[in-house]
Amino acid sequence: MNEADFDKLVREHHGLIWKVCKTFFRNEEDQKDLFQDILYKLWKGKDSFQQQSKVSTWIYRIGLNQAIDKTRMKKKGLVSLSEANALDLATAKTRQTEYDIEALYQAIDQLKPLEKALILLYLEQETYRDIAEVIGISEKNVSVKLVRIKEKLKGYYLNVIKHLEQHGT
Amino acid sequence: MELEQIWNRQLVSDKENDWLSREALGAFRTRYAAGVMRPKHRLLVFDIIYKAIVVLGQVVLLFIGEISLFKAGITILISGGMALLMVQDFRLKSAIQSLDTPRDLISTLKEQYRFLQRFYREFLPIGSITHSFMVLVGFQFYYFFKYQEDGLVLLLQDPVTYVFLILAFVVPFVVNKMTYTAELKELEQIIDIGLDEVSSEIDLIRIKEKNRARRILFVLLALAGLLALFVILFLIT
Repeated sequence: MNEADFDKLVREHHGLIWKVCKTFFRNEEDQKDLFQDILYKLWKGKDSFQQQSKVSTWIYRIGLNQAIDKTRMKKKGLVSLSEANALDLATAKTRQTEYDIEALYQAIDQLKPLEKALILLYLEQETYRDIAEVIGISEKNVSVKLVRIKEKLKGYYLNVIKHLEQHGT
Repeated sequence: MELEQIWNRQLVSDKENDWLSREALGAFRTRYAAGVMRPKHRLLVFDIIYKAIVVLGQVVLLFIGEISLFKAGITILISGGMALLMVQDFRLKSAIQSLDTPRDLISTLKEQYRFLQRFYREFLPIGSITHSFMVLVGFQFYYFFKYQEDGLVLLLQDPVTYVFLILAFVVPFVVNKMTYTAELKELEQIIDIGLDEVSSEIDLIRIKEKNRARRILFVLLALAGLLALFVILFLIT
């Protein structure tokens, strides 16, 4: 894969990389940083890409690994809804769609790193088989885990909305 | 509203499209993406250099003072021991490089956990012992420049020397142990997604690495024992 092919591949799949960044970091600088890190890792590992697996699976594998790595470097554990997050939401409330999406991201932010990876792949409508391949667990376990994570996420999402209503934003 | 519906309504904005500018796409090629294992790599390189300085210092001491059989013996034992531990450092260093192989998320985390268990158990003693030898070499240099004579025999007869040698080992050992324990615990929490198959594999890694670390500890004890025997035999005769 030469530089031009690689740039084309990135342009075609950048939405996917961008969502990985947004799922793992709420700060724009961190998101940009992770975006660059993922591109670097993809570029470095472009020869490891095997044509028999899907491009998206390969990108998710590298992107999510890098995202978890970076999360650990940042020592970012479970987070609660901070004032900064609330401010983001207050700004976003001017448009309902942005508000809902931002609230969803903030709910996802409260999940553990591997749970974030699972829910991202699920929301991106990847098949259970592909999710199992990226995460490294059986398809059966993917379905079991997703049921629990979805429940958890719904709870977090409602809490984020409730928190905002209580604080009058 | 369903979460899936909310998710599907998001669009990539112009701001995010900027991330794909010519400059942004050019920037990552010259980038250096620091991984979570980078500090370990740095520590190993530092320890290899540190051990080399200890060996060099001891060899210099051998030649600037009077060459005795005892001093030559100590120099050979320290240099040999340090060289052996440097080999172990290099092995750990190459194990870090193998972590770069692309894998699924659980396998990557398990490999990192395996490495950290190994690093934690092996590097703690082999890294800490370097400080003790550095203290011994430092004391000899101090003695030589202060009194213009070899102080090795006198130093080894003085119990205060052993207090410093032990402290030089224990202090970094304890401090690093606390750091590594916290790091391992944090990684365990990330891997733990409530699946028995993953938890049991983690337990297995822990046991295997514990057994491997015993061998390293045995080598270190053998080295310390040999040194002690050599010193005792010399002091008796």
